[in-house]
Amino acid sequence: MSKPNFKDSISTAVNNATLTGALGRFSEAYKVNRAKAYDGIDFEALRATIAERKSYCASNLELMADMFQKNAEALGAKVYRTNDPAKVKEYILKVAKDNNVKTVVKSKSMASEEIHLNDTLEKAGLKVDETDLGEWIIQLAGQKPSHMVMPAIHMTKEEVSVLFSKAVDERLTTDIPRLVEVARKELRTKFLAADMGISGGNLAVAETGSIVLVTNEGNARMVTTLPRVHVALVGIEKFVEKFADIAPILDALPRSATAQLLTSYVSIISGPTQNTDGSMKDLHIVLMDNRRTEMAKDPKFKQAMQCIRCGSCLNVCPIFRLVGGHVFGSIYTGGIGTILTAWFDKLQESEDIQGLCIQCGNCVEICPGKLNIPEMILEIRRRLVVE
Amino acid sequence: MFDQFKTRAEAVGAEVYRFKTRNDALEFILQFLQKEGVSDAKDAYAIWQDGPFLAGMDKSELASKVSGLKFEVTRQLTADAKVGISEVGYALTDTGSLVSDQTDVNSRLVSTLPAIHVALIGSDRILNNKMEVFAKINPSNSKYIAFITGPSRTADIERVLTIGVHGPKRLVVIFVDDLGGAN
Amino acid sequence: MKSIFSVVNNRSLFHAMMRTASITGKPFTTGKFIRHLPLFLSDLTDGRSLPAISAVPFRDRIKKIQQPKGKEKAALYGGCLLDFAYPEMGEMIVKILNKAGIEVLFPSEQTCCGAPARYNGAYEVAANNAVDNIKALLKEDVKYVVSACPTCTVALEHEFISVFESLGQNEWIPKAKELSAKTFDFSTLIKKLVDEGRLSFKEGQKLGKLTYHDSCHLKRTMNVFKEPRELLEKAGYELTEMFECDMCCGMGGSYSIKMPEISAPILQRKLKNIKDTGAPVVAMDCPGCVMQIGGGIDQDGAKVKVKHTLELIVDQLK
Repeated sequence: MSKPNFKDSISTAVNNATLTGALGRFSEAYKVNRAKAYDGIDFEALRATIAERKSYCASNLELMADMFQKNAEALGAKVYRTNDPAKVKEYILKVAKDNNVKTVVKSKSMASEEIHLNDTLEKAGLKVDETDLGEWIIQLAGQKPSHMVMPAIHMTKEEVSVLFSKAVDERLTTDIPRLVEVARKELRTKFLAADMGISGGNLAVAETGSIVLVTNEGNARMVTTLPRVHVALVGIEKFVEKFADIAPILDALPRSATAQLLTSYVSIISGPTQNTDGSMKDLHIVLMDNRRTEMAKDPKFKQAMQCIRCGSCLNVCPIFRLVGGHVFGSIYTGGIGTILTAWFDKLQESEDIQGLCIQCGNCVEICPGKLNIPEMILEIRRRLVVE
Repeated sequence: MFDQFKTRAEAVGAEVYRFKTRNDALEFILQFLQKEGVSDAKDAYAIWQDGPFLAGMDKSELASKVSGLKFEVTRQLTADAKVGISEVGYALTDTGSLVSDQTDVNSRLVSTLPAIHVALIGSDRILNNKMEVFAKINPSNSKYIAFITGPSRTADIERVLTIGVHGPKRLVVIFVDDLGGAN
Repeated sequence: MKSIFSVVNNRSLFHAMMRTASITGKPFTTGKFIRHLPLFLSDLTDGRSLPAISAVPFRDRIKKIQQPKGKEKAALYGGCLLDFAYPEMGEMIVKILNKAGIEVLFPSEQTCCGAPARYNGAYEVAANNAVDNIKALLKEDVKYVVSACPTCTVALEHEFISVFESLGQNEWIPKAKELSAKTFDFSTLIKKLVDEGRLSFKEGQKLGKLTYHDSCHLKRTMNVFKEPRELLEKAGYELTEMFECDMCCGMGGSYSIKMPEISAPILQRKLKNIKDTGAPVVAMDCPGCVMQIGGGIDQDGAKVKVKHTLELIVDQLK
């Protein structure tokens, strides 16, 4: 049965004119801009390649992880593999302790949100700062991201101005370029002072032991360059086998996520490089399973491993643009979020939110990983009924 | 190919120039630095990372022409610089991107921390797409491969595009016909 | 919720309730719409009027239609809405197919297509629906099975097979495939008959402006969107496209009952996009969408006719 506050949260969301207005305008613009970004590209061929390459990795996860570990370690990285989120946190804490880390800067990582890494680090006395602008806003507000690519899309400049004013102890206006400048200054000192950088990974290349980071702000370049320790936390759905497999995903990810031909920055990191003081970077790559292997073995859900986390399924969803992300109540939102919640949390956690899908199929048409999200949601419904 | 690159790069906010000779480019750069008010003060330096462009040039003479122009790259100097100048490896026509082996941490500092990044590149270094550049760059040697496409940007507040959040606010790309193979 | 689809999936109970509704619903009917449906569907009237439940369902009406005995036969699959809410649409399909020399049968053992059950995760119920329908529709040797409801068509064409596969009921798969091969949605079948020269439109008709709403299943599961537009233009309508023509209308079957607070604003967007075209008619190929959008327009008061494609072309065919 529905949790009592689920229907309330829907009513609150649909009656929030700011939220539905912002999401509605975004979804309308997105459709046009995405089509423009894909102009001249054979989308069907591109997504067939991506689906095939990712599906191959999903069928050979153990092999990919072995290959990645061997190659990354040969380059000098330390690779840690685990299925258990608790062990991920334990490991990162140990790395912090071993290196006498006091401050951490993070670039965007949904995997770290998935396991609530910040809570653990902060409880251990570390100062942790998110540096992606949207994630920083969310952190200051004490909220969860509402969209995997645009975490603070539900917030207004007025709300951001209040948060930033508190953070820098100065009364700020709602001028967006001014707010961004404040974030630049404030976070710049944090980048320069931090002992450890934590990033996610948009891709992990098995044959070269590389991780690929795709960003617009430049924060991932700083997180991976300025602190002396770098931990990359990567879900094992991010594997591709070959270095050349980066190309099709880089062709699709920015176009589908934000209708860009390419993001401002892409970094391909293959082993540690020198720090600014001449020492070698201490580079740790954590390969997190958290039931992904189990999901890959389930014939109905293996296709979920083809997801490249672009969030385009949210952008075209008639329901998402009305209710936003917070109604979903967990880290991953929208249709894909419903599926990931059912797996990474548990099936019962998806009982309310699976009912949000109207089965219109918009997401099926545009998914660069060829996922059939409505079909997987029906399968969740079926399993809930069976239980 | 230059024109294709220029169109794509300008569409994402980069400024693109082309010069026949190193001397022409140099003259432009010095004027640019003066115009941008580069001076010997915190947040106003220009840091120029050494590379083939500077081969055979008298750096102290250049430094005497623009006060605040330095050729030493350190973390603190680049953090306090207004302009960073570095050479990059390739330019891609399909996305208007620059691609570089930035294994050397200094090349990352000069292209990330200052408010303006001036990227120098030989005009013969233009490729069509990612696949072509991947054929030329090998991750076993190039441990930090960087794609740079326009200046730093965000749209995280109300989806309003804002330039220059953490990285450079301006990207100035200067093609030089007689530079030859850099990187 | 579970009580609703268990009713929908209990054929005789559902049919009996629908008949009862047509009687108890009468005093509240204004024009074509019920404002207060004295049914299990009471939430359905929020923001939208509902069609009246017909006094005589199509399954009874077809018996009275005089049809030429043709060599070629088609089985009409009604689906809940066509059978009980819009029986006149069924009569029009018979009229149109008769013009092409095709005799229309309505196998009375047909039942719900199973979509409501499937959408609620009750695959066993959906599989029982599939078996009943396969038996009914393949009983006589028909060349076509036609439905004017895209959700039903998708069930007949694809979902019966996948439900059997999901449940491992492999013995039914060959029959499900046989049914799938004969199944057509209304517009695709009519376009085929027009292309074959078996149906033709009156020449020189000028019927004015019209806009077209793409139903989710027809557009994205069956990739049918050119066919109805072509038929409507050949009939003499001038097509003017609305913004987001293929965006969901918010019906989603039982979704609009379970999530009225979401369904209603989606409908309002759709209504605005329709009205913004200035067209006096909006066409669509799904009786569910006709119910949702028609009900919305009725409450909105806008002067826009909401029609199934078949209603708009029936009198334009020679």
